[in-house]
Amino acid sequence: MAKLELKIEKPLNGYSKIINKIKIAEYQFDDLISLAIPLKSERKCQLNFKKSLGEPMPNIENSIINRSGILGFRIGLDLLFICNPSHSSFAKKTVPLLKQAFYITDQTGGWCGVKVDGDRVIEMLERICPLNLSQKIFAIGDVKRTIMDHLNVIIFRETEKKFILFSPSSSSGSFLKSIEISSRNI
Amino acid sequence: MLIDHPLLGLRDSSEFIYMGDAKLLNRPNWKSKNSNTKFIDYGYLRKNPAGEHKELWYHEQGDRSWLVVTRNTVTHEILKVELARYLKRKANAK
Repeated sequence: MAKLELKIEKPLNGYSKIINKIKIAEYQFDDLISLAIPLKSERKCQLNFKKSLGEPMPNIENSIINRSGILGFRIGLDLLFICNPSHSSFAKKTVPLLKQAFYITDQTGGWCGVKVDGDRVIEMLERICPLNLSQKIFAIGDVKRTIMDHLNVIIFRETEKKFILFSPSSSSGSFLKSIEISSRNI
Repeated sequence: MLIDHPLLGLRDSSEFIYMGDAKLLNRPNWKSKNSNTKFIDYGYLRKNPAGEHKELWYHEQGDRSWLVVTRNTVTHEILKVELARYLKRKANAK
């Protein structure tokens, strides 16, 4: 009998392209989970977050990246996301620890990441993003949830000219198209 | 139109959904006297002022918070923005 192997299919199949010197590439990750803080459990969650990820729980619209490269960001008073790019023990060790304090929902299949990077990236984003992207307002490491081309997007600023955009995987093709068109039109 | 979110700062109104008159926060007690009349008032009757108005806005494409926005319906000027959860907790504590 033939040996079968299951392979994870990413929403954009590892897309990567350069348009007008802007590199657009799918940001691949192994896990994406959302954490909700139960009512009156903020302190307990702060301690648990530090214990589980080794970094303090970020403030609203801020993020942390721990030693294993796991990205954590807070988009609301009681809502956080954790994105694990490739750390192998995340599901077995970190998630059970986090479960001791937070309500957890696995959202890995629900979101798609796109990394945009380049000198003219701000010009490209200004066409589709309603946020003020100046570094005084939206600093490196900040994260915001907003709307781009009628689609819900979480935008994370990695460096001055490098962003990761998370959008629902069901509409990731449409979102990618709007990024491509915006990049062509700058 | 920009809404000055108390936690997140200025955000475009396209991120929000208008959810009606802020009187919806004050649900009548069903055990009270004349609760039928109070619920008709709560559910159907609105003042619809030309001027200052307290409104509920939901930050759906953002942090999913509910806001009470005081807006002038004639000029569209936004006079005050508060988190609905804090207002409600304050009112319940009294």
